[in-house]
Amino acid sequence: MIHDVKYGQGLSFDYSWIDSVECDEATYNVDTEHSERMIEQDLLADKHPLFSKIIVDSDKEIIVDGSLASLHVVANKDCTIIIRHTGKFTSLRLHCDVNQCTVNLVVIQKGERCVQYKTVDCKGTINIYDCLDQEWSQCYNDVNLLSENASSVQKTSTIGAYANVYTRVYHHVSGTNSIMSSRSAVSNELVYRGHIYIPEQVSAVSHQDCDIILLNDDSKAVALPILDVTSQDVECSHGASISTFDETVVRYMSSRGVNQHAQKILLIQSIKEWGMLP
Amino acid sequence: MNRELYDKADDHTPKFVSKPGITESLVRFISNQKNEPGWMLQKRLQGFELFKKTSVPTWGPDLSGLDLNKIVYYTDPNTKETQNWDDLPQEIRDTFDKLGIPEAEKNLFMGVGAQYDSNVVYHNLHESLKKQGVIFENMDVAVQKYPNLVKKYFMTQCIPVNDHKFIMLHAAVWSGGTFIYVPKNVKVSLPLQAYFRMNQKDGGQFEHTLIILDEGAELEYIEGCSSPRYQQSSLHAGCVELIVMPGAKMCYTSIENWSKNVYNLNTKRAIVHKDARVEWVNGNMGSTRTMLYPTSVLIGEGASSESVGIAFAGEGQDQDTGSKVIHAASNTKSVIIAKSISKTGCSSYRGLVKVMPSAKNVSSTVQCDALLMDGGQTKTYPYMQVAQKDVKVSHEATVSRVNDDQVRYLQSRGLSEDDARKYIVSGFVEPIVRSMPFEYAVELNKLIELEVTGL
Repeated sequence: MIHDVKYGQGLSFDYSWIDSVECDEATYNVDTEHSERMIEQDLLADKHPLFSKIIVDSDKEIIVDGSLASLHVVANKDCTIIIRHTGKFTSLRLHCDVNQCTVNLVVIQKGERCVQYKTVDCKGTINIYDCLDQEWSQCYNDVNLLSENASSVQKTSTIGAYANVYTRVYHHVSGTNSIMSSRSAVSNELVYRGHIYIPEQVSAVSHQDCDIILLNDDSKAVALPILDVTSQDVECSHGASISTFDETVVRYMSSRGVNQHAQKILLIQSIKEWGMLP
Repeated sequence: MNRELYDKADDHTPKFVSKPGITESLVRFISNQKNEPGWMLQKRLQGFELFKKTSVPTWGPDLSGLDLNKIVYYTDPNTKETQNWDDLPQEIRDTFDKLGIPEAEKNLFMGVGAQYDSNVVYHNLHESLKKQGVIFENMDVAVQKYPNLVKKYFMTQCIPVNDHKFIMLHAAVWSGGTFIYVPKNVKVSLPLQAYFRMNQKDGGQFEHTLIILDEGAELEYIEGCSSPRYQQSSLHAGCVELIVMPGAKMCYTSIENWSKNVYNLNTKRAIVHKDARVEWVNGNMGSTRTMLYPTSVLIGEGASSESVGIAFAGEGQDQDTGSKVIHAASNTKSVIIAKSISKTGCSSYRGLVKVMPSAKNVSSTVQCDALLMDGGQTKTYPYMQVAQKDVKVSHEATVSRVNDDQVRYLQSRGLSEDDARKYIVSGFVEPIVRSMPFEYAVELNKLIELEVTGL
């Protein structure tokens, strides 16, 4: 079943409040402010005239036309939700409630500039697959694990020219676990920030990793994977790397007759597929 | 060894104690006391002006308990610098004896400096090094004796006066510290050491360390710090500048064991030239708040840097430490290993790896591990900023706690629970302790043992 929600065209959108792709030392201070602002934005979303609540009981594809969309999705049964959002400039604000079920969430945005804010209140399992392949994109995920055994997987693949990715998971209760994984191939600039927060008295397992491959000589990347652990009953780890092509892979592909250009295409394809596969 | 060794104040009456708070007349007074040249006074005044205009950083640990108007910025101990421990007033001599400094000098070091509150009270260098042209001086003396060298490097290219709030303050009221110059191709076989003791209640210590290694020189320098425990806050805002010329090798070890009323807001930075190497070894055990991020700026091809650090955060402590590396040249390498133990306190790793666009074939590895005990907290802020394709930058971090299975296993082998926990913690910090000179490794192990067992 396809649930089709169409929005009006030509809505102007003010991007000035969005974090700049450029990142400097001040990033150290940005995170808290940013989270607060996200919450504020979500509160505003409730009053937004285009806000739309969708209750999902089975696999569903939601198609959104136009620049600005605010959705509130409530999932009560195991399902896969695909949101397709197209427009010249697209901005999607999504709030998702996962109630005692497993949800696979895929957001596909098409446009010159794409922004997505996702907040998930999870009392089950949420798997988010993000593939950012636009010229300019910003992706902010905020996952709250609210019940025992709640778990989340956030996979983000980025192959755009300019991208700003912020993923956060907040373990509110014990017995929760999360995985946050990001693979990127950058031709211009990427800022990646990951944030795991485990408060006092909460027992949780969490892992975060981030691999960035720089494609061009003038490519730039910033990675800031943050661990914020106030509890002691945790298993928590993270890893991050920034590099160019792996020499072994290059040698192997060259020995199989794959030229440099084709290698790049294969790499980009593999990252894209990785991001979309469970 | 017990904590009282460090925490007990001496019954020493200083010659001069400034009124709490900082004023322009105090800045001029300090400069006048030291009979400094005009350029140094100008630098102090510049720091003071900038300090007034700059606000306290809002990121990092909470500094709201630090009242800068209540700090005593200058305390002149009632003694002059000497090369003989016996010439010191008995109470000061006793303190350094208890800390084991004169004994260590005989067996381990080629030179020792000791600072008490704002001034250096003891300084000595082995004759063989003097003959090779090595300079090891009190910083105040160096300003007079080696004005050209000091003027060229003192808070100019490495850590400029306007770097941040506490460096501005340091520039205004700095006093004492160490100046070292090692000539071309001179390799100092045993370490030089400096020990900084802060005795004054509400006191501040602002020693300045400037070390210049000429081409091909090698030096290991060890620094220890401690202070008695008071109810009121004290401040340590030191500054360490290392200039490591082409092909030189510098190892800088520091065990900061301030009492838990001290705000330790220290700045350490090295400029590393072609094929040179700098190694930072840091142990941060004491102080209520620490903000310390030793930095290596790799400006010459083939330069390398290694930073290993251990931080312990007990009750009421917030250890915000880490390391920064700026790769500004090609074929440069860096390694950062940071470990922290949080026992009811909070420890944070805050680091930076920055690769400039012109720096090719750069390799950097960061590893930080945190061990949590008894309700401790840990935070990790590894910041990687890369503007060059030809790099390998990686970061790994883990957070874990003292595992019950490990404790039970050790107990089944006849150890008590306390001993089992102690051994697990010792094993956790072993890679860092291994990087230290033997006697310092023993001291650090004992300090950690003291903190873990709470004795």
